Amino acid sequence: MLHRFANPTRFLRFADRIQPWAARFTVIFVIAGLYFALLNSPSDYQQGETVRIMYVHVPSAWMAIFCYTLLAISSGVALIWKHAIADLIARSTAPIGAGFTFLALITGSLWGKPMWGVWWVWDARLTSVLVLFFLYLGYLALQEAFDDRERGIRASAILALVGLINVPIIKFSVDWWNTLHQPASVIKISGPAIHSSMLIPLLLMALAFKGYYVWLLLIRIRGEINFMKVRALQLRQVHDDESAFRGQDQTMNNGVG
Amino acid sequence: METAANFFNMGGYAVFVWSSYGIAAVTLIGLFCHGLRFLQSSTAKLNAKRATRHRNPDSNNLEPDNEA
Repeated sequence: MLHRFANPTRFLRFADRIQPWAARFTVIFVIAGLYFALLNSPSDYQQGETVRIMYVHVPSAWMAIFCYTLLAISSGVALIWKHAIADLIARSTAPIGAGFTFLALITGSLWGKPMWGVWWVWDARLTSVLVLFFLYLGYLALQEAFDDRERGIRASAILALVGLINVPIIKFSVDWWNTLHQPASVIKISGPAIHSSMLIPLLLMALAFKGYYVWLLLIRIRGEINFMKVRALQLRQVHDDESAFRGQDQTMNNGVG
Repeated sequence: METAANFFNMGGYAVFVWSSYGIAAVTLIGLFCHGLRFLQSSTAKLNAKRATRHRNPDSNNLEPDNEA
């Protein structure tokens, strides 16, 4: 199963089928999500209208963690099995995940100011998400840091795997340490502690973000596959030039002999 | 009209709510356009590479030399 998709041509065929559906899915859920988030959901009895920030903030934060987990897993697969597409998934996920983490931080700040009275506090949840953002940036920087592409892949994959330790820290930071941030209210063993009128826009926006991720991921992977083909052609050209040169050398020697 | 004003006012939190949605829209649309540009430039590069290979057959040494 894993190795079936290591073949770029097969992957592209699969992407061709999925991409139009990802696009439709995203558009539909963005429209439905925004409708419920902005127009058809109540304001919070404590937080007033600022609760609407939640419909951007929480899905962004979920995606930040989801993307990082996927980035680390596919990095591991690329590292161990030299799976070409797994590396491309990791590489293409990184900028999208960094974008979502940035959004989680910024919208969190914009929510924190009116509700907590501060833009930022150095508590466990906020700090661990900031670390997540730097892990994404570090991953992106490391990939480009080496002339040898393979070394870049290896170094960044190792960083991604080591950084995975941060994911449970983010998840449980609100339980382990004192924080201004509220604890989990949707993903709980006892079921979501949030009213359905707020849960609906939240889930719709979460699905919209998920669809957006798949759509953009496929676009980026296509680009990466194109560059992979360019590199293969370049290598072949170098190889051909060398053998052409050797051939020339041979005929010259023959001429002399 | 009153309700539209209420809507945009967001209970006095307009700055925070609308800038959240605005920054989200700008970031996500920007990231998407960046992805599309990346795809476009990679396609252009691949096509250019393929074109030079076809124009330059002696570089892959498969075609026989047309020397007389």
